[in-house]
Amino acid sequence: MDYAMCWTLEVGGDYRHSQASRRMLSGVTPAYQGTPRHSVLRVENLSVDFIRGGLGLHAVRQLSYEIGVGEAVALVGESGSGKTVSALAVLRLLPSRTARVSATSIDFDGNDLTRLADSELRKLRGYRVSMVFQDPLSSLNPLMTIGQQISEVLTTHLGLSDSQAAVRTQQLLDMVGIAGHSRRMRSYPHEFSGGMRQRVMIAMALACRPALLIADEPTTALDVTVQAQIMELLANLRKEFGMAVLLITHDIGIVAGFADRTLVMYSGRLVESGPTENVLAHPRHPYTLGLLRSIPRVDRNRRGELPSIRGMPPNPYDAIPGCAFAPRCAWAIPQCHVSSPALEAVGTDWAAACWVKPNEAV
Amino acid sequence: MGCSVLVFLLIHFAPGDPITSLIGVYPSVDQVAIMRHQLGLDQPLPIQYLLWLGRVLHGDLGTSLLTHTSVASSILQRLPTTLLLTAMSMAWALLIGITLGIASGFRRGGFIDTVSRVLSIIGISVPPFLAGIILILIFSVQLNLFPPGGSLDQYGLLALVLPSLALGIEYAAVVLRFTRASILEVLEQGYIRTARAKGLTPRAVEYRHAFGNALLPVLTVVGLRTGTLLSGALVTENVFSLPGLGTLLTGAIGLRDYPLVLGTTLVMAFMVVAVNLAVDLAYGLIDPRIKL
Amino acid sequence: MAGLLIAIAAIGIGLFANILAPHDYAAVDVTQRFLPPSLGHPFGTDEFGRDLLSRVIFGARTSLIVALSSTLVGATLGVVLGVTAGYFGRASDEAIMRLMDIMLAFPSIVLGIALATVLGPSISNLALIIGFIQIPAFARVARSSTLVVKAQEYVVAARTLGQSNAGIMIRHVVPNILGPLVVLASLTVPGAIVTEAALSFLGLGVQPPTPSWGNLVFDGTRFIYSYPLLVALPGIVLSIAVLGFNLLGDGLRDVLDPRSRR
Repeated sequence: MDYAMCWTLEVGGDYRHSQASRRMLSGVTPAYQGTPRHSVLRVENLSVDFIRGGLGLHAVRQLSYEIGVGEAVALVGESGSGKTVSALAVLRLLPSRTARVSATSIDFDGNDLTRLADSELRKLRGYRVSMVFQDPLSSLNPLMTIGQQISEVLTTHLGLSDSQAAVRTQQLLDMVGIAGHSRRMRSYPHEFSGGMRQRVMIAMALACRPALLIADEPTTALDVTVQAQIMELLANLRKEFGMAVLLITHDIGIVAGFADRTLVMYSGRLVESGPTENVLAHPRHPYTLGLLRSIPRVDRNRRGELPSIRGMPPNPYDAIPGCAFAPRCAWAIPQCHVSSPALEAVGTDWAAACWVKPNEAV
Repeated sequence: MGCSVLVFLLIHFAPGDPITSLIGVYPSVDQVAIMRHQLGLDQPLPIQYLLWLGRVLHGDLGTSLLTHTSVASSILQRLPTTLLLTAMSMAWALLIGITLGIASGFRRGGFIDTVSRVLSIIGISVPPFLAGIILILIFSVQLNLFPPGGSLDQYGLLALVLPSLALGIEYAAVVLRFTRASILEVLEQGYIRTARAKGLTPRAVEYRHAFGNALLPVLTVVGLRTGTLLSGALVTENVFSLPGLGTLLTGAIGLRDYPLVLGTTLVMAFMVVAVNLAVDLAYGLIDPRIKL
Repeated sequence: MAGLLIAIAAIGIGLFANILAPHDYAAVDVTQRFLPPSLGHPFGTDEFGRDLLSRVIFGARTSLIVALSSTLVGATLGVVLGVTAGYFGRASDEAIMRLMDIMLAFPSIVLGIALATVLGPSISNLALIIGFIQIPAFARVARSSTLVVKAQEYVVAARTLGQSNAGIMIRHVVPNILGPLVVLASLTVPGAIVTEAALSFLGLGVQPPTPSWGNLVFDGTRFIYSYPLLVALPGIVLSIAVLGFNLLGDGLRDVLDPRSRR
């Protein structure tokens, strides 16, 4: 049975089974020593500081979260809130010259990423955990063909020969909806449209059927109709592969219908986390509420002004004694300016970091 | 094309009347008029330019005022030396510059990086003629390893070792700095992050993904530096008394042999244009975004 | 900041050459030829018994006058052309930049030689010639910076207020593109020192008996076997000066051009 056939048969099977068959066929021993557990990624107390000219910039402070096997989690926040940085820190993709990363533990699929050797971590990247970036044009090598860039992942992690990888690459392109493979494989990124490039990035990320896909603003650089197509593609592939997805976005509008749970970050901290339907319908943190109210909606406020959150996010160089959102918050009480609230449960699997926790409808 | 206009104007405004040098210092008015007509000098300037251009395109660069031999043949005789000299220095420069540039760019702040940065700033500060003199002092005067000067006919390629090094050092320093800067720039690009996120080894990231992209700006430098390289070649040939275009040109200047001066100048300008064309072609080969 | 120190020292030596030089740079004394370095003649003497240190010190004056004034010439003309091209765009941009391309096609020394032949060698001509060679570099930088500044709102605002084009260029564009130009100027000074030296070395630059670093090195090469110090000492001084200006330019670029900071 050749590899390609096996892969086609695998589609729809659960990932552990496919994992076994792949190991058997490719002869590659996977790097991870995963025991079955319900979370694929568990981050504890992740902090990232950037050192620049003697100044320390606190990009991420004491961030903890968990993603279950096959679960879709959205990480929401405005630009500069630390959401992308926190994801890059997990995969150790931040420049080591400027970024200082610390964490109590980062458990991915049974491996503690804070202690894993570079060479071991490398075997997980692109294989068990993949990443799709915001701008597909700058994220693809302009001098290599699409085919080369996708099959590179296969030859690196699965030990496939070039011709085997080519066959598999064709299937991957098919999977993400790019027709006319053999010609497309020889194309360069600049010959593709933005949506097609992002499809290529997705094909590349899913080449080894990872347990976790981190999608960092995958649709921001695309126009609205293409955005919807890409989100639909991601949703379908997630169901098909049973993989977990961490969707990083500033657009809380695309979260509904995609994510099981939603995490909201503000100024490097997690301010609210919970089941998506709860968070979107009855946010308990004023910042989440502000984000939701600033989405244009058809059903109301047609003539009125679109509300926006007043003020500016705090300067990340500043040390903030209280809640970082307090200066912009309509509910702020004196305590908010003095001490920083911790995440407190407000429901099942639902928490908010706020002293007030206003209970208002969106 | 523009170069030819400039060369032509330089010929035209160069001191010394070609008539005087052709028929003696005290010609009769009629003789001058006939001569001017024969040479086309009574035509308006643009017509003269076109006539001259026609001759240049046929390979006729005129005759030397002093030796009365064809300028084109003198140039052809000297051309191989200069071509070899510049090609060898370019080879040195690219070999040393790119190798060290890569080593220091990928291992920024490491030992090689520190050493190369010192070397490159020194290299940039030593002009080719001085480098030539220093090399002669060390390798010819003190160690007696290479000839201090002389032609290809006398010593073969040995005659070009020191001159090409002298000429290549400064160039290598420039290439080194550009390669290093270009690599540092490329390493911050999104596709490098993608390559790392794919789980590729540092080696694959560096050589498969960063190297080619980092080389593109270096190519541009090669094009831009060709003029400087030829300038250096001209001086270096004089330091090592190599019979190339440079010594031909400086000799011709000393003797006020204008057709020879301008013919050589034109050929050098043509070489610059040719290298830039080659660079454009190389760009087209490396970068799929550029269609030729 | 070693570069700044060297550059200041070089300029200081050039400025105060007549105070610093221990001897008359032109005083010939055939009884004192090829003296090795001593307290009286720290660099020794040359083939005419002239004090080499004094000649190197006065050479600094000549070389730096040529280098600095040529940079001034090149910068002024280059900025006028570059800002005009960038500001007006279209036809004037095309015309000016093609002209610059043509100039760039000539090896700078060849252009210098051709001009020196036409104009004749003298210090002021040399400054003009080397300045002329530098025009394209300044024009290119000025043009690309102007393109950036032109799109800024304060320029658009000034235009809507009805200020004249010349006024906008002088008051708004030029002050805002000074940064990259200062960096370029500091990097063309060492280039100009080298070009001057090369032209003088070829006998087309500063004419003897006036010393410049270039013709000192050239004179020295004739005695490279018998008395190498005569070429080595001026050569080393020249290199140190060029090194200093290069370091200064690098330092200035780091300060003034945030993009290149690493």
